Amino acid sequence: MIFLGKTKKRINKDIIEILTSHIVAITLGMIGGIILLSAQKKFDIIPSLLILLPGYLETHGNLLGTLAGRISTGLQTKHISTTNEHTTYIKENIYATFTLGIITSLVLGLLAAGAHWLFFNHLDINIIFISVIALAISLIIEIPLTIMATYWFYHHHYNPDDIMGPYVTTLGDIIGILSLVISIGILT
Amino acid sequence: MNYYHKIIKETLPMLLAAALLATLGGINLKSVETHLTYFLPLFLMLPALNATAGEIGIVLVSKITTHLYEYHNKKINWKTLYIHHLFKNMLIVSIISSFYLSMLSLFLAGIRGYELTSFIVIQTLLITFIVIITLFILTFFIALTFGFYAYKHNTDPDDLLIPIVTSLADLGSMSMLALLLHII
Repeated sequence: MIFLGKTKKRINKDIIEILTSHIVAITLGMIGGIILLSAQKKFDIIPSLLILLPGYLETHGNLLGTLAGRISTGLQTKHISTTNEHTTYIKENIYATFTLGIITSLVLGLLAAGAHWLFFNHLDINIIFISVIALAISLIIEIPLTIMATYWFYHHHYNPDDIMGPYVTTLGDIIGILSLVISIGILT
Repeated sequence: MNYYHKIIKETLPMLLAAALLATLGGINLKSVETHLTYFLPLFLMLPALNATAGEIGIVLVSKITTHLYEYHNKKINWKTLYIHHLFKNMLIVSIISSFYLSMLSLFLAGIRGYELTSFIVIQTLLITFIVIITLFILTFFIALTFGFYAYKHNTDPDDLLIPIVTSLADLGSMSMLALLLHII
């Protein structure tokens, strides 16, 4: 009975924590929707933009989520310095995340261009450049923010594993879409 | 092999597979572009809907994984009390999230001068509810079934299932949205 009571109490606490993080993430995620709406007119100029969008948004979450996860594990296992953010471990993580971002964005751009050509009979080469430039711009901003936030949460006695997921997805939605709009502006 | 190359080698296949799946979702989305650009509340919620479906999957996998590691002597299945409570509570979270997401997007669309008829309100609520609840049930089934399987085979369920459920949520949310826009 004591076990059941503890389980119920923990689950009730969990539901409030999960719901709060979801409500915050949804509210901030809508900012991404508003920015996207401002780029709606560009859909005629860049017709394959909607094909790129889900993959482009997901890549931010995947890249930054794994980056935060590696740093969080390193901090909690004391594998890396908890005070110095300028270590070889962090630098290699930054270079690797950026390289992965560029490769994935190139593949995403090629897939979007190929799919648009195959299914909608129109070759849209611009989407490849937009994908790479947008992801490069956003990663320059997002990588330092993710590293700083992971250290901040760790130093303030929060478990980064629990918090960084919704944080990086929301960050990716807002900065990612803003970068997408900027890169469309540069190329059109 | 240095650490930089190790990260690239371990992460790149997962990223490329996820990119391929998400592109399939994008093709579905493109096929309903005209409906979508007309249907402002759904257009506004696209990034948040995409993220919410994935986040529910991540929370489920993390919770089940932690429970497996905490009570490693116990076999978990649909009859386990913890799973009953987790299902019930995550269902509540999913219902409230879908309702909040719909209302917020309707509110923002209304502010932008979009005409909110009762038909549009019901359509938005219904589509969001169906997408989120269906994906919740699907990811719950995957997390529970394959989580225990992975744990039994000494693989961390987090590492194996989080990329799977997030990709599935992305592909599923965009494809279901496209399908429902065609039907309704």
